Amino acid sequence: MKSEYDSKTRKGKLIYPEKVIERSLGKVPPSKDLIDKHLHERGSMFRISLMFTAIFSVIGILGTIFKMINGFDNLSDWSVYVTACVFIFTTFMGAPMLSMATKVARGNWSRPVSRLSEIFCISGIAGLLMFLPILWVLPSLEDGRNTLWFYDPGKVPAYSPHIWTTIAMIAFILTALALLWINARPDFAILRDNSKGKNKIYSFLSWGWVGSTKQWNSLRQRISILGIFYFMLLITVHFCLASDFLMTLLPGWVDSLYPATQAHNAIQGGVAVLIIAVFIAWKWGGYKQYIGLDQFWGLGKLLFGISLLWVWFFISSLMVLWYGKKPNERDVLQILMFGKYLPVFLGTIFFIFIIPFTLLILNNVRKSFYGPPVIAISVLIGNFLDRFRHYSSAYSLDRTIDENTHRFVNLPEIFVPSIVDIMVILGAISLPIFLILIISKYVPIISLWENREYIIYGSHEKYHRTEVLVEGKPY
Amino acid sequence: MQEHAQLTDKEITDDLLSPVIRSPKWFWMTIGSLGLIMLFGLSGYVWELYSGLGVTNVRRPVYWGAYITNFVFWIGISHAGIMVSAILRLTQAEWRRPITRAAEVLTLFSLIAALSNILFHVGRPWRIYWITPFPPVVIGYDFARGIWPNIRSPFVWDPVAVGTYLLSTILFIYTCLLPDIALVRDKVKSKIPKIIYSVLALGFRGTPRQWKIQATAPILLSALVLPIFVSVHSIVSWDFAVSIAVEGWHSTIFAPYFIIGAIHSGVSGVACLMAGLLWLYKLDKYIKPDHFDAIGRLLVIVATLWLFTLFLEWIFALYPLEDPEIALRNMQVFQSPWNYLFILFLFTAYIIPVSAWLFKNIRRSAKWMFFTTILVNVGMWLERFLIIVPGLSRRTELSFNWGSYSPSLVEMGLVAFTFAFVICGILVFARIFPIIPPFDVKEGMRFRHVIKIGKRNISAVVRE
Amino acid sequence: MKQSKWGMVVDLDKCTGCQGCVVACQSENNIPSNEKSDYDEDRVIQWIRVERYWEGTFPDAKARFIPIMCQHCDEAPCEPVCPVFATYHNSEGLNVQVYNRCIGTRFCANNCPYQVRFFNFWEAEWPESLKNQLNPDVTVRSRGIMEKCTFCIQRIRRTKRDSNVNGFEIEDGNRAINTACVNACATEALVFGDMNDPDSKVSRIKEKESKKSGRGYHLMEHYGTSPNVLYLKKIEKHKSHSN
Repeated sequence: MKSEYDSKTRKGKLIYPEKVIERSLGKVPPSKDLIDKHLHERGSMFRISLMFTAIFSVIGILGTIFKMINGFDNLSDWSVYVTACVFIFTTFMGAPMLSMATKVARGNWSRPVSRLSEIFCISGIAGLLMFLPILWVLPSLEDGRNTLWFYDPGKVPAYSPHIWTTIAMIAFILTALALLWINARPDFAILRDNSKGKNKIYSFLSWGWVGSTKQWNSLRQRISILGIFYFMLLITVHFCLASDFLMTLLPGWVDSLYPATQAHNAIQGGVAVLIIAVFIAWKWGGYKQYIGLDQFWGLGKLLFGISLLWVWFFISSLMVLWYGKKPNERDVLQILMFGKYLPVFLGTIFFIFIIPFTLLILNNVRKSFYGPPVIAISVLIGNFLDRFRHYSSAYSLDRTIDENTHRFVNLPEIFVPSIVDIMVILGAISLPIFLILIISKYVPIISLWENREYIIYGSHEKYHRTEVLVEGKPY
Repeated sequence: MQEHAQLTDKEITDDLLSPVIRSPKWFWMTIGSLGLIMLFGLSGYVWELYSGLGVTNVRRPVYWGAYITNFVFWIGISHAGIMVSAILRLTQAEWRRPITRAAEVLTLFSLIAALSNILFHVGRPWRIYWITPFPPVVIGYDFARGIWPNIRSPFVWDPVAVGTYLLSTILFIYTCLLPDIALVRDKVKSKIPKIIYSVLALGFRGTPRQWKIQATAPILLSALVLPIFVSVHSIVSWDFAVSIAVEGWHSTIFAPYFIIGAIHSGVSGVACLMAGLLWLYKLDKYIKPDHFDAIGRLLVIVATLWLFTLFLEWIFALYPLEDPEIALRNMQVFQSPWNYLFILFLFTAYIIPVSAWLFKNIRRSAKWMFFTTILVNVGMWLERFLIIVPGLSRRTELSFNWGSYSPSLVEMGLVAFTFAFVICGILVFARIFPIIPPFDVKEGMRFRHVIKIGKRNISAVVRE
Repeated sequence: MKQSKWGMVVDLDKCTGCQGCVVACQSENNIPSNEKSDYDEDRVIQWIRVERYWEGTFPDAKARFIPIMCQHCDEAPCEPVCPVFATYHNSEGLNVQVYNRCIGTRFCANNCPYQVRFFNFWEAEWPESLKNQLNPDVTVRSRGIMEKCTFCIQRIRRTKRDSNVNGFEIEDGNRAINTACVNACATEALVFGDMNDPDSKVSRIKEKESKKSGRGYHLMEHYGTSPNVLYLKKIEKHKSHSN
């Protein structure tokens, strides 16, 4: 069709494109199969995992109570605890970013797994519970602790950084929970209409959703605004965590890149833990029909790119500290990398970069069902080792400094975790999973309304001599 | 995006090739005036070559001035190319189609402008080839026996990184140009241009095998060029960050700070360029308000991330409560003339543009995008200046050596030269090759579908 | 002969700020005269400079002088950043500047915490009558290159050559091997010598004053440059540095 638009005079009518594909919403109802899968009783595997995670969570709580009884004076004792707490915040709470980011970028491939990523929002509660004892671990301001907030006795009021960090965390968790609820609301409505017996819970949770145009429009607006807000809060929380927990005013330790590095590691850990969750849902959850190779491929590509970016953050930090040859910065490198923590450092590099890079670069591994999950486990191990290296070395520092050279007098020994610490780590990993398992009884882990959109907006069409996927871009 | 009319192939070819076949009316006047500016700048450089670097205002302690600022600025703008071409191609954003080549050409000329700034900056430019490892056999007696450049120096990493980026940009432009050169070859009538285009087209005839290679090559190149995207400006930032003797420079955030600043500056440069090309070549059918809307939204995100890294740099500079650093930051924010420059920088680089871009009407208007993006680049030039010069003017606690700096006429002339050079280069390129890739636009037309659900028409696109 | 390691001691309690060292250095090393325009442009070239700081206010104001020359740091920050290897560390512990290799990027100047490196912005000019005064042992630098204090390496080389040829031992304090500034200092505030020789004056002062009770300190030690110039004065360490 020729357009009647004249570019010289800039006048004329624009004519719409011609290849039209007709779809009808009525022909794509919310999948009965999905609703049944969600509503029926969970199998034995679910109950066993629920039991095990509950037991390990209790073990973890016991471990925490042991530590609290031992007192808060010895900072280095608490280093693994802090590592585990930050690990939860970085990995489990980084998973919802995938759903937010792909919604903003209007990608279609993530729709089947977006609910899985949003469900991780609940693990923030576990993180907050773990965080509370730490407030007593950090040295108090009355001891003259230098903080980010320019505490100066007699001159600047002592606004506690604890307050800022706690506020950021609570806001973060509330935003995450709000996002989870907003995204799940249409699903609750579908379940309310299609279930018998559990009506009361779902009608309460759906809060009057009828699916009118106005409600849908406001849903999309809220998702995009809250999603952006979630991202900003993620960066803020990691800034507070990194600067308050890790940056000390000891010479050479202040690393202005570390908050950004930690936020990036959060996203990396989030993608990794999401891949594992998607794999579990695919293999044992019975959702093989809904999660396909496309999702694993997309997540695998993401994990690959993000692992490469990790190297950039690492080298940026390293380059400045290494090149300047300032004595106190060389000491920090000794502590973190080349000294006593060398095995941990090598482990970090191996698990978080070498394995993902060398394996995910192969097309067959990236575009497979088993490849990304195995590498995701490696990334998570590497992430934990990285946290351990930073936090436990910071917490084990002896704070005496030589006056002339401004260097540390003693470099810390490597911290060996005790049995209580292992209990804490087990609990830290299990408690969020336990919460997620409980919540998955009410929130369907494949999003019903997004699955429907995924089917509607994607259409396989004959294109010349081949068949292609045509993807709609609605907004 | 979906505001495009469905244009026929012949229309696209005619529209996009017409500035190549016959130069537009304004062409020679514009090139002439830009040429005058370049001549003015170059005469300043000849004066500098003759008398010495004393004609600049560079002095002890501020040994790096407007030239290095300009160098970093143009490297920043050059990141537009990879951002728009490679990253948008890999994330399969359809709105990149009209703007990829213009962005890449902007990159090409900004890199050349950046490298020229190094030439202006060194004390003995006739010896600058010593930074490269030419073997002593090649250039005869002028070379000392077997002395190689110092790999430990960031000034050797810079040419490697920028040179690699330049080479890959040229490869990228040329690879994506082949179908369009073939198109021009077929349309052009006069003899000598026809021969030149035939040679350049490397025999592209549009066979299926050639199109298959043409489709995979840019994706491969985009993936390969991504490490360059991250590394070039990091390496340039390490020129500053590895220095221990200058207050305010020794910070690990410099690499991400500079890169995000480069994306901010570069994408704004592309938006500015698009608005300019739209006005000059009357490309209303190809560059739509939707494109500016998409660029505007990307810019809001990037600008806010940039503000975050700026915040990180400042807060961790002040965090250790060290007197010298605090004194430097005090000077930057409260003392004249730095305080005016600082406020100007904050307003032009972030506050005014981003507040404007929050409104859809402004994002969709080419005119407003043009002016706000120019503001952004003014601000980003000032940002580089404010990183380099205040730190150098009060380097250490030895206050006996403190000094100040403001650019001289020769330096400003050469800065103007680089701006004129880049604009002139893009316009000359647009005269020789189509600046909006016809084959890309035609491909986009073929990929467009509409999914009709009930009463709504939803735009859809073929996914590869 | 054992390998030498050249070092200097500056006794700030003896320094009067007379700038005799500055003048001696200028004439020994063919440094162009600094005119008023150079001071206005902040382009003064003084390989050794005497910095003057005021302490207190009138009527109790005191002037404190500190002569600063290239510290010939063991871990010199200026060396790794030169792209063409125009500055390197030689086996005698000196930081050497190779004039004809320098292309004038001025990165080394930025990276020197003591700001002892100078750039030739203009071509150096001497009036015809003063050209006979130029030292034939020292290069006359063209514009566009960096220069700095060399611990009068030409004097070291010449004396070592003489001692080899004429067969005498170089004893400590030999004025032919001393730098020009050390020879010119009226109060003997500047001392130059071989730190590898345990009996030299420099080594003895260093050993005595580097103890806790001594007056020895290095300039801006926290940069970790390991300078080879020891300053003598009883000072209070600045407490606000934490990095």
